[in-house]
Amino acid sequence: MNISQVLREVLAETLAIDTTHFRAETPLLGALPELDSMGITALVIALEQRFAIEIQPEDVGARLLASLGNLENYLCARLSGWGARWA
Amino acid sequence: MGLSAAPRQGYGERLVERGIELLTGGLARLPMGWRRGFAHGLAPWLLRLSPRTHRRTLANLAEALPGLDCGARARVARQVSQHICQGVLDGFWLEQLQLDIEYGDAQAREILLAGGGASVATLHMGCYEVVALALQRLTGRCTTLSNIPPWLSRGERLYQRVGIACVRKKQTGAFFKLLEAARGGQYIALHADHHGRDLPVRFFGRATRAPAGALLLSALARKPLLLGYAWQEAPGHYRVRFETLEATPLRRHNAELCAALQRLYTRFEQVIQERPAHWDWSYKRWREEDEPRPAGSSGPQLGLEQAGVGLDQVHGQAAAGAMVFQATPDQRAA
Repeated sequence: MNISQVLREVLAETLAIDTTHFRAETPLLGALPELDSMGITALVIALEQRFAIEIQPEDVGARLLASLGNLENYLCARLSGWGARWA
Repeated sequence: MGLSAAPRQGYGERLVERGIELLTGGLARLPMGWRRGFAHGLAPWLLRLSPRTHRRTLANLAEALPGLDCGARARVARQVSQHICQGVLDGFWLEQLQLDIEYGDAQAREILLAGGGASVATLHMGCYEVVALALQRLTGRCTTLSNIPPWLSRGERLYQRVGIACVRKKQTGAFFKLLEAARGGQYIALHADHHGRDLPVRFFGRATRAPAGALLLSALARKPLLLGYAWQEAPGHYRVRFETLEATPLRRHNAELCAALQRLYTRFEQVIQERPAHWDWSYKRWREEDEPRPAGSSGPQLGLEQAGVGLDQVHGQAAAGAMVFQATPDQRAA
């Protein structure tokens, strides 16, 4: 299972939404009503648990959740140890 | 951090704002004791004009404080109405209010004087903006969330005059603005006692749901969590108390957030029981739909049912840094 698939799965489970048609350019913040303050926190917790990473406070922002692609790029950067490049 | 430009007002809205300006402008010229007299005189009329609110106040009091008899409930309801009236009016002259600030523990004082920022949960007691005002006077770095209608341009001036930064509740990205402020070392005052959909909690023995914004900020911005509340002692004179709820930031974990919210609400109950006439009982705090939701219902999965799952996940969690991708059957075979 690649990062993209796991990410869609986490989004679907956490926000109880259908992500089968999501693409990299699919907007998240502002487009998904489920992504309110509680949804954002639930998603951050789920991502940290599923990917065994710690998302830094300065990374949690509108840019991170602007689109599926942004989130995926962030996770790729973090998992490859290049978190600083994403920021 | 300021509020965005106010939208254009309609005729009715201009009329309302002008009326508020005339009333509060006139009252501001009176001594504090006279203003209290006006608020206390107005309160019974408001109760008569809104019988449903009055009935709800009495019903909430009967449910939460069964030790009060009928006469005591009526008396408390009247005092609640007077305190709300006076609190709302006091919001128009925040700069004139006298505050006595006290600390429930030494850590609360340290956190507030250290200047590193914190998330501060507060209650609808006394004047609703007094805790934010106390934070601003103590630290010079307070941000709060405002629910004032955007067309009421005078609303933002109330905060600006005393230096409180304000984020409108309905504005786009409000939560991220608060998060950014918390990360930047601001002290964020958020009301946490009224109804909200975020998390389930038991409050005065009944299941309900509550807003978790203050807790979420603590967890996401990695800031301590404090409790701040205020009550009126004399006309224009409030006492504000700060207590430490979590000296270290809340861990980002479902079960911990739920447990912290319950601890907060247990403390809320104690605070309210000490001064029942100072809390806003008129609000529709307990709702039928607050019964625990069955597992698998829609929305972010962070309820009590999920909290149990969360605890299991903590115990079975892989060590930090370990990859926990679940391999597909094909990958396993390979």
